[in-house]
Amino acid sequence: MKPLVSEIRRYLRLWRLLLRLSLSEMLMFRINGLLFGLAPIVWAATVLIFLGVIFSKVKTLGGWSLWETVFLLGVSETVFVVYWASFLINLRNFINEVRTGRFDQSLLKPINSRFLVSFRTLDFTLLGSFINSLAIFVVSLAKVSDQIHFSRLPGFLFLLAAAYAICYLFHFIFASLAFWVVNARPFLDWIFEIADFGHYPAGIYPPSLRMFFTFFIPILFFGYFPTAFLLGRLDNLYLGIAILLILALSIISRLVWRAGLQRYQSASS
Amino acid sequence: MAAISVKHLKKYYRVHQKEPGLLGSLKSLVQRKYFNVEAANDVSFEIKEGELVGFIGPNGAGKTTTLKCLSGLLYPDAGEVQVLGFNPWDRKQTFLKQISLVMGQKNQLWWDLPPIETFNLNKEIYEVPDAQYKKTLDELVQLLEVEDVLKIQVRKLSLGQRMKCELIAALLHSPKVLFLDEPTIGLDVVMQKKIRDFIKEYNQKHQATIILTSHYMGDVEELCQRIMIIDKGQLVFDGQLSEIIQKYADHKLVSLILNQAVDPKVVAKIFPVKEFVYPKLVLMVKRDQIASTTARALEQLPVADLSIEEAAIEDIIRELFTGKDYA
Repeated sequence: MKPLVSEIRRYLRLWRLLLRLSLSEMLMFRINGLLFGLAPIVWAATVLIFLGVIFSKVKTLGGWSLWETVFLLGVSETVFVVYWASFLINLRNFINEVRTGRFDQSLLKPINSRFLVSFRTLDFTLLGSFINSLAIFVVSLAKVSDQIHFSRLPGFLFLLAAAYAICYLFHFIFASLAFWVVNARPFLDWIFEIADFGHYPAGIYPPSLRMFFTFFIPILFFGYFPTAFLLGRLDNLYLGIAILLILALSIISRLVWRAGLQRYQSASS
Repeated sequence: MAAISVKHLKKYYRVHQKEPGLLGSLKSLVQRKYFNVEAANDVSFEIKEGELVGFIGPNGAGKTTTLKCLSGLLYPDAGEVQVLGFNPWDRKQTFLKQISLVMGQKNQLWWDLPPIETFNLNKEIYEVPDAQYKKTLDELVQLLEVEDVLKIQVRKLSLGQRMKCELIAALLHSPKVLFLDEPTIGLDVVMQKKIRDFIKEYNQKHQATIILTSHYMGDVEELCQRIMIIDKGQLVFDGQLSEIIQKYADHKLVSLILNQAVDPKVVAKIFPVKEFVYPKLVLMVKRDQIASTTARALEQLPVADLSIEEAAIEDIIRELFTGKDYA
């Protein structure tokens, strides 16, 4: 037990150091800080206007009111921005590293190479997007607070954590295809593109598509399931589904990673 | 016990060939032509602890592939490899803490940060105790004379400064085995010399086992007594540097300083001239004809001075790679 605890502490220490380096790296480029907020504000305004137009014609969307839908948007976007800044950026970098052979350096280090690949950097330039989506979350939370089941808060938090685990594992499997196809970036990009479907109430999709977005490309975990659970629109069964999905994806990602490492050809010097 | 033991190592790459142009790209999309590259083909050798071995060969001969197999980056297709008693591709942390691979054309330093940040990160990754880290860093910084660049962004350093910092990053954990893949590539002669001196001192001081690949024969000549030559994935020579001269150099160089100009065309007709820039005439003479040719030259040419030398190792190796006659 003690070696495990000290190992966890070691990795946490390393992660803290990597975060510090990422922040230092970003601060080297002072102008980046000034460009933080503009693009996300434009994006948020566009989506909110789009929702406003829809709700001027209908009272509910897939059974959700305007503010419930905005709340869903706030949750899913906040989760997504954090995910992008912490994991997605690393997986994209990893694909590039395999192509260029820079992945050699991760393999030569006496730490878990998967850890280094997944946690090497944190994209602080997304801070503006984070603040933006958090603002949508907080404002809409005040509007739907009377519908929130506070007894379901632990389940909500669990599903949020599960969302990160599921999406990370899912993307990691696709990123690992870089060992075979070298440029696996398109695989991540098309998954990223359809992630937008997770911003809206799942009731608008036919059952077959809901199944697809739950088990095959599990984007509904990325906001919809946690939010629906907190609002009392989802039963406990989904907590179990999340656990099973995490277990299954963990096994698959481990197998793919190990097979990929054996296949790794590096790049000539 | 050998620090490194390699038995019948084989590593093949399957690569596809593409004809030039857009049409070639489209063809390659529909029907790909694959062929196997034998990067390492039945390579066997042993290296003792503390040895500094030069590993040379033409481009694409299999040097880097072999080093990558030894450091655990690549899974071999066949054969046995033991480095410090470990199977490299198990990538055990205890193994990785004892080796280092420096590639002249790939860096581990964080590009947008000063080198000291990468050093600090490596300290944590390799779990180097504070006191040891400070001592090693001070020593390396002093030896390589990089005190002034530690806090400057890596992207703003010169190639030589970067290479020095790469070496520091690779040596902070005091590895017992060091793989150096063209560490002097692209450096000017002064910097090459500094890096060579450093490698020599590190090898002697720490008794580290080092394999060095380089296209600069000066590196190998100055640092290594033993060299291994690889070509087309096969080890074609493994022995002392001096043996190469005995085995492959069947000529010696007879240098003459003339005290009177002679017609180069006439000289070329009666002597095996290697180069002639008056007053220096260099003859390339077969070993068994040294005495007779020298006597003839003294008799027929206005010689002021004469010396007999072994052929330059660089020339021998170049001819070896060009002629491909390793028998």
